[in-house]
Amino acid sequence: MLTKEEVEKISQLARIEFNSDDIESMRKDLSSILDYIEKLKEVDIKGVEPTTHSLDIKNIFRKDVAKEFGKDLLNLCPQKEGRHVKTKPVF
Amino acid sequence: MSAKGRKTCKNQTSILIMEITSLRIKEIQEGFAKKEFCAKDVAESFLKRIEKNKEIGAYLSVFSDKAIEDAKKVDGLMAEKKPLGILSGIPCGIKDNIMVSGQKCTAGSKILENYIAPYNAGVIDKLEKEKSIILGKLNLDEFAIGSSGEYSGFFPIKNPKAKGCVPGGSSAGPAAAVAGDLCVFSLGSDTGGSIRQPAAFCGVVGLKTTYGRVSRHGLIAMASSLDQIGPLTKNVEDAEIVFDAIKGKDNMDATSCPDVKIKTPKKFKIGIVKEAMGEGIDKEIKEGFNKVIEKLSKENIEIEEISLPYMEYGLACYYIIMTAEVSSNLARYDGVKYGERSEADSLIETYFKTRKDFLGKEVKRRIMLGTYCLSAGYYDAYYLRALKVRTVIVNDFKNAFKKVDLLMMPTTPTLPFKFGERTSNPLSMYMADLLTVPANIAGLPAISIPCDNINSLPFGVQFIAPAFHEKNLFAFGKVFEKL
Repeated sequence: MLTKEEVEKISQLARIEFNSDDIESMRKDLSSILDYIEKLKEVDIKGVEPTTHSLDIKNIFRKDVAKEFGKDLLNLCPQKEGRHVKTKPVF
Repeated sequence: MSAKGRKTCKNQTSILIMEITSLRIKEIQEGFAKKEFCAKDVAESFLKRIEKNKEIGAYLSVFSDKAIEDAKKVDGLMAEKKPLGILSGIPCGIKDNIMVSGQKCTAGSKILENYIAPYNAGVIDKLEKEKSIILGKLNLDEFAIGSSGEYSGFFPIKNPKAKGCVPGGSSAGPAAAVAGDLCVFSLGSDTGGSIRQPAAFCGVVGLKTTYGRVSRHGLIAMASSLDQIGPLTKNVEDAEIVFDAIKGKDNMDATSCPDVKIKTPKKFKIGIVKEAMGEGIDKEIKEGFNKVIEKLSKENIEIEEISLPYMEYGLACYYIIMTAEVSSNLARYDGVKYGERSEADSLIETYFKTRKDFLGKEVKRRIMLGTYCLSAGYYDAYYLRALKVRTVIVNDFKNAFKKVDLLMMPTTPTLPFKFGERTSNPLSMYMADLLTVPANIAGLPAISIPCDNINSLPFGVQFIAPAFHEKNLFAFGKVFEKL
């Protein structure tokens, strides 16, 4: 079972704010799912290579050519100034 | 009934609408050729029916004017005997996580409620080239996360074929729209069963394509190593026609592949998956599936019991890989680049507040689980282990296809369930994907085909083929649906 502190730490990493009721219900839900996932420990994976995706393809290259993007993309951000996306200061 | 047979209803407008909207692709094309109706008539019939059936909740937006305009263009081409596409004048609906340039694309989430797609998805370019008429965007579980259509950020979707029951998810709108005659075909996306499971619950055909077969460019990402776009249709032939229109390499999706030529056997050998009749599968489903097996035996179709010993680990494996990819893909919704923003005093607080206010509970749950599985100290125990189990499952399928051409099993472990039945217990909701997830993990094509109803509820059977062998699913599927 996850602890309240562990769930709070995950919420920090995931950048999602929760109130204390939400933390408690998240703690219960995540713990029951993690219990189910424990099942994977039954599988013998000694010497098995991981599969990141199902296709056997290698790097796909294309020419590195800059393309014009429409102003539409910039218009999608919540706040902008000129040609820039605007946010609160980072530091 | 053929298109010709339906002509007798031409003077009764309301019946005509119903008749046209129940037609398959080739029947509509036949009607065009015989001048029984034109593309504009067809588009109008669907738009009227959509308007009358708003309570189903299938559509999030309807492009009425644009659809009529596009249909008129097709009529113009037909009148001038100019070349047409393979879907000319055929109306469709698009899951609202696939971008149609200049139109809203919400992915069923409040955080993208006002997002306007700045470009077309690869599949939309292809549909436009074939002159299909896009009627509008279809409702879904938020970010394609959910198995019941109850997690849409806007309103839940109803099952037109099973009163009081959920339509399945996450392509709930696409399945309900085809089942309710609100489009001829639709496009959905399938990450762990999101096309096949709702297709089975709504009594329609649903195809998950081979990973890499259809471009994901312009599909709002959920879990990139598993997501695939595919059609939902009224029969197998329509699925094949739409698949032929949307498949192929797209330079904008590095994982998309060129066409592969395959051999279709004259006589198929079908593998019955032993594990799909075991724990976690409802009695009604087992009984219904046994009847299907009996039918095949009577038709002298060669069948063999096949064991996929590691299939039972598929769901646990999926819930690590998928949530890990979800947590990474959905990190982009931070209130900075696009979507909604909640104002706060600092940038970091803006992230926290925006994601709290605009993401739904199930989406948050999966982001949290994925973040945990990828976090320092847990990566090897969860994510890396899951990737290794993934290899073991892939090998299971490889071994099975040495013995048989296709694998067969029920699409879902239960019949359609009631609204609210599973929302309080996330794990019970996840179990709905038990039999569909393995094909995504191994990147294989799979189709769900409706069979005889069980207790008046839709029931679907799923066939899985080796990678790039969609043609074999269609060839056998067309025989199977007529049994």
